[in-house]
Amino acid sequence: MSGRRFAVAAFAAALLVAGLLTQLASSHPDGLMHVADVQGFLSAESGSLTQGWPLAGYAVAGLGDARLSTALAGVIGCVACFALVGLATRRRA
Amino acid sequence: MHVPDGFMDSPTCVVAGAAALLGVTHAARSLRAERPDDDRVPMAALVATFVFAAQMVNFPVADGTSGHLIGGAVAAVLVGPATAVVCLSGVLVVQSIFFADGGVTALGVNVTLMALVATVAGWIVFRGALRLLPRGRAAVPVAAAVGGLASVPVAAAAFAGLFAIGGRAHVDAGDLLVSMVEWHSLIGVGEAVITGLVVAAVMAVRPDLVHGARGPRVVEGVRA
Repeated sequence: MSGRRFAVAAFAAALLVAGLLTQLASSHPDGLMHVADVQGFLSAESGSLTQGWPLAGYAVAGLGDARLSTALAGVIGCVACFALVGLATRRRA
Repeated sequence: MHVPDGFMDSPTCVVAGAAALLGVTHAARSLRAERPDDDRVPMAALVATFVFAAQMVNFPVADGTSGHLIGGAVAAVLVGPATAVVCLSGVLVVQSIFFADGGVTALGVNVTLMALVATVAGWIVFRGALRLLPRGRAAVPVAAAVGGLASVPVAAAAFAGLFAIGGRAHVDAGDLLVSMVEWHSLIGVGEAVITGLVVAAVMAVRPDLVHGARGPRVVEGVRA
């Protein structure tokens, strides 16, 4: 498989996971939040500084359709991660 | 396992932030050494993208609890441990800033636990498992899965240790450790499955791009 094809396929796979597979994600609390609840320190959580921002909680502000909102947030996140890490690891002359 | 703001006190956040910065800076210096032979493929960026996407998909574990991939082990096997540290850190920054997933003041804690501890633990256990398994290509995804399996409870134990020192609530440190490791051992099974499948998929099409498959212990011909 050529490098270009591999890169396109891998990026497309990530987009599929972020855009579609996320629709099936469990909304139960994760292991840490569950343990925090059982151990009684869940209430220590304070809101994140960025919780009012337009993509907070993997939802696009103003987008009514929850599925579309999650999918779009996922795709935006994929592009952001690709760009940020691509820049950080780019080849230097 | 994203730690929200408020769980850890300020000194712990500052110290973890400094540790994270040191770790990431150190990792960034080793990027060149881990670059694949075919460096036209932006492997690090692709791995970060995939880890971000996969982290969004919480899978049910038990008792109304879920877990998701951390990705430190799969990233370390695919691009090398130092590059993986940079990948995971990038993902955590994006999650914290854009998606309010994982606190902003807790970013150093999250980088320490997931980008440093989970990645390094996953890599060390992968290397150990590769040594024990019979030689050959099939050993790589299996060893990667074992690395993934171990990486999650190790990071969970690190959280328990950090919380015992700098948590903003009084809990029994032993109880917390047991509870964190128990739950995250279950989640580690999911981590192992995903890690093994992803590494097997890349091995099937471009084994030369799998950092962990380089070296004398894997059959000749892996370098395509």
